Amino acid sequence: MSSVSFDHVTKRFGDTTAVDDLTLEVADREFMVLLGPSGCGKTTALRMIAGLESVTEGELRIGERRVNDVDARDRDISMVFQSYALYPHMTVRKNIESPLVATRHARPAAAERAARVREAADVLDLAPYLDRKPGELSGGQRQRVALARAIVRRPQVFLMDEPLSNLDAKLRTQTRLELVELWRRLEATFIYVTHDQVEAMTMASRIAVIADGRLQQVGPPQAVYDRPANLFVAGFIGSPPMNMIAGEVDRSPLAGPLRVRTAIGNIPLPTPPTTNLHSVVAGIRPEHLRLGGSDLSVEVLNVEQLGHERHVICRAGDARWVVRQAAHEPAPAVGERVGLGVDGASLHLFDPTSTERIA
Amino acid sequence: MATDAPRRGAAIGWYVLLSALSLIVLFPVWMTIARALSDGSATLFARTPSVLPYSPIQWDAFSRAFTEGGLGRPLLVSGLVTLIIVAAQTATAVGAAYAFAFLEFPFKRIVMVLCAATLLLPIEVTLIANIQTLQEVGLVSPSQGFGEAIGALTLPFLAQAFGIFLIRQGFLGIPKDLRDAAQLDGYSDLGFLRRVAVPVTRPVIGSFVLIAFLSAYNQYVWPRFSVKTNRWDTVQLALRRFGLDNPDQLNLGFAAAIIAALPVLVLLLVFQKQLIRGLTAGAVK
Repeated sequence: MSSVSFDHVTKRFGDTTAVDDLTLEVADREFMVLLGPSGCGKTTALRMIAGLESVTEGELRIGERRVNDVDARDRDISMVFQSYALYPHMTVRKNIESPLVATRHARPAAAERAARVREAADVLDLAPYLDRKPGELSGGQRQRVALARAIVRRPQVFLMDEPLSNLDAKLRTQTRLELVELWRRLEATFIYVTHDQVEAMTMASRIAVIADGRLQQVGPPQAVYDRPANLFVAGFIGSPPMNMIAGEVDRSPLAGPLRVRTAIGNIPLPTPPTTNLHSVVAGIRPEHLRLGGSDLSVEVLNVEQLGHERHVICRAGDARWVVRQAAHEPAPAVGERVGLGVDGASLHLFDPTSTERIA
Repeated sequence: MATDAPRRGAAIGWYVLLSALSLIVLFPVWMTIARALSDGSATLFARTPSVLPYSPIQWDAFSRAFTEGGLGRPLLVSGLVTLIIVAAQTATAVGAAYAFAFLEFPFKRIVMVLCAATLLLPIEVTLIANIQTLQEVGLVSPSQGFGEAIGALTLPFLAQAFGIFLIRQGFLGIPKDLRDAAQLDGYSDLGFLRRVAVPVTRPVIGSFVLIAFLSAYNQYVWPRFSVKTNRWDTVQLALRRFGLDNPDQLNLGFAAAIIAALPVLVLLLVFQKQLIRGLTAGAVK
């Protein structure tokens, strides 16, 4: 198993910069998720590790080895594609065996190949389907064949490009668990690309958030959620997303306690912000707002029942805010003006120009 | 019901039209069969022409085409020539198509355009130059032997642009992920071609084989000029001579024509399934 490191890696396609000066260290045996909206460069980054795209600038290492100029097939890497990329004319057995027969000089003996195919098929419960063709399998089964093909060669690193996005919601939840179990069992380095923050939060050891080809933040899921580094991460991670509003820090000693003044009311600040900025963007997660408080005033637009909780959608100035409310609490009426209480300790402040977090 | 009536009327109209068209297409085929089954002289001396075979119906024209007409040798020559041309064209087309579809090399675009330009040249344009070339190297001459005749019949057709572009199109239809996956699995270009690209594009290659077979087997103009002795006639050339010596053998010509058409018919039936089956089903979700 092995680590992977990007050292100031840039990838350009003509005039477009897909990955911009990426420096990222993926530790050995880590489950790293590259998370970002579509077109942000995360898949390009993954394909560079695979050797399917060249590196324009910078250095890419797998383990201690610089791989910028190493052929894809010599990198000892497996990849699971979004489309699964199974060979349609081969049986499941042949598909799984494929990485073992492709290179003639490194081809194991037939008996060993059969044993390894068997082993991979057992891990993924594919034994009954070995003689079928991919066309005869369901989406979930095809996905497992793609995984089996990836594990059969026992590579240093596993790359996964949105492997769950073609599965239905229920299967996706189940496969998430299976993937994490597989990762633990193989004790391997996983690098996993997705645009789905739920997948990132639930599976990752660490998340690397990418937008516009640039790395925004790296950290364990909870750390990224609790302390988003900038407005992009704050808005991207979390569902429903963080509520935001522009405001001004009111430092006048006569005004009473320190607070952020906004169009819909004042948010108290428990500690003085470590900045001289006057204008800020305040962010509050839906679970840190309390209906019935007196800090802010909003109008209820809709109430969404989810069974275990409810989401109260409100008009807050020009923005739509969401307040998370426990299911047993009394629901507000649509159209009603309600007060919101804010837990000042959980307030996030951002610089409106640089969009960075104010520590 | 109100809307059904005109729709049914339209359907009936179509059937009538299609039936009439098939009659036009099938009529010569039927007449060939009818004449093949009739005695040659009966056909020749009939007072009123009939669309039915003249009695007594004679079934032996087909065997006599071989025994008296000597159809066996032309069939073998045609078979061999067709086999060589189809095999060579398929091999060259697959190879060139792979290069054009997946590899990068200098002047690729120019080479492709030149290659495509040959599609615009009908055989008649190059006929005289090609015959001269083959005469100079000694393949076309009144004393040509078996090997020389086969060489003269096949040499200009070992590679054709049409197949290259047809199969290239098939290769370009292979999902990119499949190619990436093969690259990561460790396949070389040749390995990918053999184990993935060709099997996956089998329907396209199959239809090319069929087309190449038809055009190679049905050639007339080129063999007419490149074969200088009756000994190495292809089937299509041999058909000219049938029934000309003896009015009694008039039906042999028709029988021979039917025999000559059989390989094409059989091939169409065999390949039909190949052509229809979409092999890429299930490749990519």
